[in-house]
Parts: sequence; C-alpha cells; structure tokens
Amino acid sequence: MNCRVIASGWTRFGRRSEGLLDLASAAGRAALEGIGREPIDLLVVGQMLSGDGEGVSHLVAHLAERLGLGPAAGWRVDAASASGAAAFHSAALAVASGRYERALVIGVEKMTHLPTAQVTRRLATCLAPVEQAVGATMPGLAALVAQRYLGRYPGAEAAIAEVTVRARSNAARNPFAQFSSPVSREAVEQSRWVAPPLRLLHCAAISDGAAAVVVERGRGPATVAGIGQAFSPPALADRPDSTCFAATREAARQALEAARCSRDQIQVAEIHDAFAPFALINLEDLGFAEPGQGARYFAPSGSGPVVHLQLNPSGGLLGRGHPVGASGLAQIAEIAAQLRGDAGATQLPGPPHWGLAQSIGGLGAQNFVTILGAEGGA
Amino acid sequence: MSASDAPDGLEAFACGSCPTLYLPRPGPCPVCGGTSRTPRRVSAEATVLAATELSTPAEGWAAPHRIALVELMGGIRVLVEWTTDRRPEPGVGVRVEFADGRYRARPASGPRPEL
Repeated sequence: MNCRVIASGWTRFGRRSEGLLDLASAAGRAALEGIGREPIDLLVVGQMLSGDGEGVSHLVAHLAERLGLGPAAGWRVDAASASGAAAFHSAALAVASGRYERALVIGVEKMTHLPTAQVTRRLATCLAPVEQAVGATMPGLAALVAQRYLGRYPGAEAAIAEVTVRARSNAARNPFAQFSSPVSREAVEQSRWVAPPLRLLHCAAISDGAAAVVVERGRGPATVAGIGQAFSPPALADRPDSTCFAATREAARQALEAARCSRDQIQVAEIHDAFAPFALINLEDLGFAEPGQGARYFAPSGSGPVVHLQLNPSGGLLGRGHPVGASGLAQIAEIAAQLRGDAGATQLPGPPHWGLAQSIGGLGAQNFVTILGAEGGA
Repeated sequence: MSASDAPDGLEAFACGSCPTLYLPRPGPCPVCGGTSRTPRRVSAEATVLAATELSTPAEGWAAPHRIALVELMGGIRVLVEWTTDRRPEPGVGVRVEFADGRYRARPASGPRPEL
C-alpha cells in the first residue's frame, strides 16, 4: 500500500487518573510531536466500550477540537478488542486511496474506574447474545478454548506459564507498560484461579491507556505492506474448531499475500496474548508453527520452529496492559517504531525490516493482521 | 423464542440447503448461510466438551458461576449454564434444557435441580 507509519505515541498503560479524552489527547500529541508541523487531514479513533460510562460520546469531534484538527475529516471505529487495529486499517486504506494525505490514528480505552464485575459485563456485550444469556464472559470463553486446546495438545501448561513470564520480562523494559516487574513461572502457576485452566497471571489486566500513530502517503521504513481481516461466528459454539481462531488464519493469508513476503522474513511480531494460551494458538494460526506446536516457541531452551521471530517486545497485552480499544493500535505503533529504529528501551537490534501485528476482536469474531515492511510492500 | 425443555428433546432446525442441524437463532444456517429450514426436535442428551467456573462473573451473576460447552446428539454445540455445584469434566453426559431464554445443563442422571 502507498502509505507508511511515520510516528508513534503512547500514554503509559495501567490505572490512570486521567479521563478518556485526556488519555487519547496525550497519545495523539505524542505522535504529532514526531512529525513537526505537517498538517493532518484525517483523524480516526478506535474504541470498544462506548464513552457513555464517562459521559463522553462523539469522541472523535472532541478530540479534533482538543488537537486542533478542525479542518480534518474523521470517524470512530469499533471492532471490539481489535478496535485500534480496525481504526488503523481504515486510515491506511483512506490515505492509500489518495483521498487523504496524512492521518492521525488513536486507540483509547478507560476501564479501571469501573468495578471489575461491571467491566466484565461490558466486555461481554460483544459476545453472541445466546452466550451472554448463560453468563459467558471473555475469560470464561477463553478458558473453554484453552481447555479444548490442552485436551487436544496435552503438555502445554508449562509453555503457557512461560508466555506470561516472557511478557512480563519484556514489559519490564517498556516505560509505557502497566507492569514493570518480572514474574516467575511459579508465581504464574500459583496465582488464583480466574476460570480454570486460566489463572490470574494468564490473563491481561484491566487497564487504561491510549496509543497513536501518524500514517502518511508514501513509503519508508514502516511501509504498510499488507493488511487482512476476517470474521468468525461470534458464538463459540458455532465454530467447528474451538482450538484455533479461523479469522486469524484468513487475515494472515490476506496480509501475507498483499505484502508479498514469506513468514520467514517476519522478524518481529506483536500478537494478541490477552490470555496466555492464545499466544500458542496465535503462532499456529499465523503459520509460524504447526497446529499443536506453538508451545515449542516457549520451551526453556528457546529452540523451536519459529526461533528467528522476536515476539511482543513491548510486553504484549499481558505485560503492557490491555485497554481494549488501544491494544490493537499499540501493537502496530510498536512494530512501526521497531522498524524505524525508534523504539527506545524495547528496540531490537537491526533494526528489523519486517514486522507483523495480530489483533483479536471479541473472542476471535473479527481478527486483523497488519504487516509493515522497510520500503516494502506491493 | 419458544423452544421448550420438553422431555422429548429440544427445538432445532434442519437447514434446507445443507445437512446442518442448529438450534433456534435469529440468523441463517451457521454453516452455509441458507435461510430455508425445517423444524426438528433433537435429543436433549449431550456430552461436555469443556467446562469452567468463573470466580469473577459478570455483573448480575453470582460467583462461582459455571458454564460449559456441550455437544448434543447430531453434533449441535451449545454453551450452557451448569446448574449443579461442581463443574463437569469433559466427556461427562448431561441433559440440556431451555427455559427463560437460556440453555442450562445438569447431569444426565440424578435429581432435577431447582432452576
């Protein structure tokens, strides 16, 4: 695609005292600082939970005013927990079409001001009504997916704990992450049950925060090389295979085909580890590991089928935190910063030339894959 | 929705365009998208595929709250509320009922719980 990411910005994720608009504005300003006085003609905002809990709706108009983007066009995008990725895709398509020159994309969520049971209910509103009716929640359905996965591929428990250990280790280097301290495997395995087989430290935390990027027409170190997205039935029971996410597989196929690159070329990936077992499933769905082999990546020896791949340098959702409307864009912002050599404390050596971000909307009902490449792309 | 928990089974539909059986739903056939369908009754006997217990359920539900993914005879899968006090193991036989707009399950044998 004829567009590239030229700047990334974040707020710190976690429990924040600022409101929704303040968080979104701060991330937007941080990204705009990276481009000087170049004009923005499009503002796209990704957010999952409506702002009514904060008494704020029509978020994009309020942000345009705060950021001085009055002449720009704009819209808000909702794709549940992939809203940030969906906002990015819509902005990239709009810029690449030639209609807009430069877009500011912001993903934001404010969650910690609500009681956990209320956040859980609001998050569950994206699930199929027939499954909401029996009290299904995101962690509940994720637990069923994990149990089915472990039933089909026994012995992955240690690798699942290791997902969190590595996430927290990476997050400890990220000044914007919710969690700044590493955890041991024992701590993960002894944390309290949330929904067996998931324990507390297998689950991304409720979080506040915002991320932003600037997308500009043209090519550069973080060119948008390929994007893909696909739906699956919202009801878990309607899916023929509950040990994978078919929407990720299709989104990855689309993105790789558009980018004209192979999986072997991808050097860094930010994947949607809202629940630790999903990291294994995602590696398999993205084609970096065969079905049932995702655990090999997290083996203590580090030797696996995808050893060349650097995973979630930001700390992922487990370590960086998961403000649902921001996470999908935070992943893309991190990959873009990595490719530009501008990732600060989380910067990988190289810098890498190809990176991938994968975001899950709902419980796999609408998934997105984004591939960025240095000067690359079809 | 008027599906019942009558002893002779659950209300379902047979797709007119493919071999799929499915429970009442607002949309088309979940497999082929076909909109023609014929009412059927299917057995309420099912097998647990996975089950869990939520320590922090959504607002409005009491902890612990148990849910299970079960498979009815004929391959129809459905998410149910588990109504007894121990979550079932995968492979256990259960009986599914539909009442008050939601599917619930209990052990295939044993007393019927208060719903």
